[in-house]
Amino acid sequence: MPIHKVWRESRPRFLFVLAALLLVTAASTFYNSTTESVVLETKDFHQAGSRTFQGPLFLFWGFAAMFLGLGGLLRERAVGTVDYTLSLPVSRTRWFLYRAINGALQALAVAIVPALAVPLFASLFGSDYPIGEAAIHGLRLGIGGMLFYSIGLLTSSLFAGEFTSAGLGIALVFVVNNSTRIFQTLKPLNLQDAIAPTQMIDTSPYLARGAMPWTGICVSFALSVVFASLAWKLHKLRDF
Amino acid sequence: MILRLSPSSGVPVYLQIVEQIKHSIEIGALEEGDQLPGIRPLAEDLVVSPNTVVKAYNELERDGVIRLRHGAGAYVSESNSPNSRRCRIKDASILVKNVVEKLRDMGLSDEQSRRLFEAELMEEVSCR
Amino acid sequence: MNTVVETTDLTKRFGENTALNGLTMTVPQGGIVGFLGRNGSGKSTTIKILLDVIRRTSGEALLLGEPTGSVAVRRRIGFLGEDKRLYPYMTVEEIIEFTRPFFSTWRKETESRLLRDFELPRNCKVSSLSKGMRTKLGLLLNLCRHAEFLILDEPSEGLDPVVAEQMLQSLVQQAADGTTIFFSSHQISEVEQIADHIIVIEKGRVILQGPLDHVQQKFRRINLVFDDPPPAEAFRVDGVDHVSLQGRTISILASRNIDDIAALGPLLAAKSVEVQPVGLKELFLEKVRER
Repeated sequence: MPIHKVWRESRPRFLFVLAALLLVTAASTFYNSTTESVVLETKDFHQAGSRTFQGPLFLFWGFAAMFLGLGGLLRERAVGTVDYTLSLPVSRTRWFLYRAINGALQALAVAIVPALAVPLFASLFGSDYPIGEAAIHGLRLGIGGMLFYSIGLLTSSLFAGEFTSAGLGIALVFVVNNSTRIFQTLKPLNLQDAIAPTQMIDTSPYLARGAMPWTGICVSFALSVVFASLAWKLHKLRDF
Repeated sequence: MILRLSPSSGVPVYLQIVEQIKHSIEIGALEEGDQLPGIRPLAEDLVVSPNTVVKAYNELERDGVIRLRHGAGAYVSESNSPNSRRCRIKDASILVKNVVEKLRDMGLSDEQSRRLFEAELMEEVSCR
Repeated sequence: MNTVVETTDLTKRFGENTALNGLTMTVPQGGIVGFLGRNGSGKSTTIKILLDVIRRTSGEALLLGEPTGSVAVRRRIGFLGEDKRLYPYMTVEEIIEFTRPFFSTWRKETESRLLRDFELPRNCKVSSLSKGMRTKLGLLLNLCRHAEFLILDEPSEGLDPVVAEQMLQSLVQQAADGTTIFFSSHQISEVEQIADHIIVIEKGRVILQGPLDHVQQKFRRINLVFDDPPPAEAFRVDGVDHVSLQGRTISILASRNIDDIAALGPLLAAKSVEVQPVGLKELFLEKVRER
């Protein structure tokens, strides 16, 4: 089945990314819970967890999601199997859809699974973090941050070379992360604010408060759809 | 059936098959009533296109050398029994001997006679 | 007569480079067609356009009567690429399982028979197969689907003589079952043996096409030996494709009026006249040099 092939090809990449993010989450949670004096005083683990969601998870996930967007038919051209794949009675649009959906689900998974690991690590360090809270952070990251994933889809539709598309992807992720900091007028659209709980975190007990930044999430998701469509168009039109 | 083909000689493969089957009949390797291999087995055996074998068999049938029984295979025809062919060749060689003797009596050299024959045969070719 | 492939004025440009320059060719149904050409003549480009791997710049290309790019048509064809690359992470069994559902004409008896005949190890990963084994696997994946049309790009490339022969035999068997075979090749002797129709391409255009035996019966090499050879110009008459002087011999490649040209010999007091058939390699080299 075509989707099975797409999954098989993406599996090593997916497992690597998942392992890496779990490691990052564990390390960050551990660090934050053992070095922050406030935490040690108050035994308030929530801060450690929230700090993780604010910073490292967001940052690393952005790159991870972009990385998951790479691959695809152009990659196959470099490997040499694209002629066989395209000679099969499956349209380019279908191949693209399978890959896009498979990758998007994986990007979501590597947002939610590490997020849900935070409460687990919390219990390891003798504290707790509400699972519901973690789940929501994870979901928001995954959905709102599809933009990063679609950057990967787009760059891998432009370049066959793994390094070139990854390099461009990394550059674009940086731009997205920092553009709102450079251009103050774009501040409301800051992605990190939208999908990582930077603004929402209260001080003690360091849990999210306030409304969800729906505009930010929607704008980001919409942009990711635009990028994905661009990638699809490129797939349809180009020579392989 | 033992056929040796030279695909790179420039002579069409189907013609080579035709000639070699005719030759096999002349020397008695194939006799009247013998069944020839089917188109598919022969093509696989020689590693040539089945169309080529079809063309060869059709030509042989046109020349009366074989008969194609629809769905039942190809068989060597009766009129091409080695005996009758050998007879004809024997008769022909006697004719040629007589003519050559006559030409020598007329005073022509063998060289001149040969050129006359060649000219006659070439004319036949260009008329075809 | 049905045609399996029909291209009209097919052109493909890659930036400055024109790979196909008004290619007009027809592949008739049934039989085995050899597609001959030098490196860079446009063979692979043509095949890629037929498979819609690359898009044409202008002109028309029809595959089984439909414009190239039709997904439905690809259910009725097979393809074996030059590199014979298949998904390295799959095993033999897995790639067969992957391919089978796409083709309703797939026959499991053929699959079992070929797995046995080709001695392909089911659980071996494609990445660990030799090129010969990969070719046999690629062939199996194509032959089991009993397609109407099979395209092969340099099928004997990189194969040892034993495997190459096995491959040619499989193609003949498939042709006997009614599949039209179209294969591009450098091996002229292979084409002469197995093809019944040829298409010769040079610099993106067709320079010769037709049934192979027609081509073979049309061309002749006429060698005329003289004591004192007349200039080559004396022989440039209608039907002469190429004249060359080698020592005392005037060598003529002719495609028409063979008898009239041969008759020039005695007319010009030639010592000997020889009319011979022309092998495809010789013909190919002459035709390509003409350009």
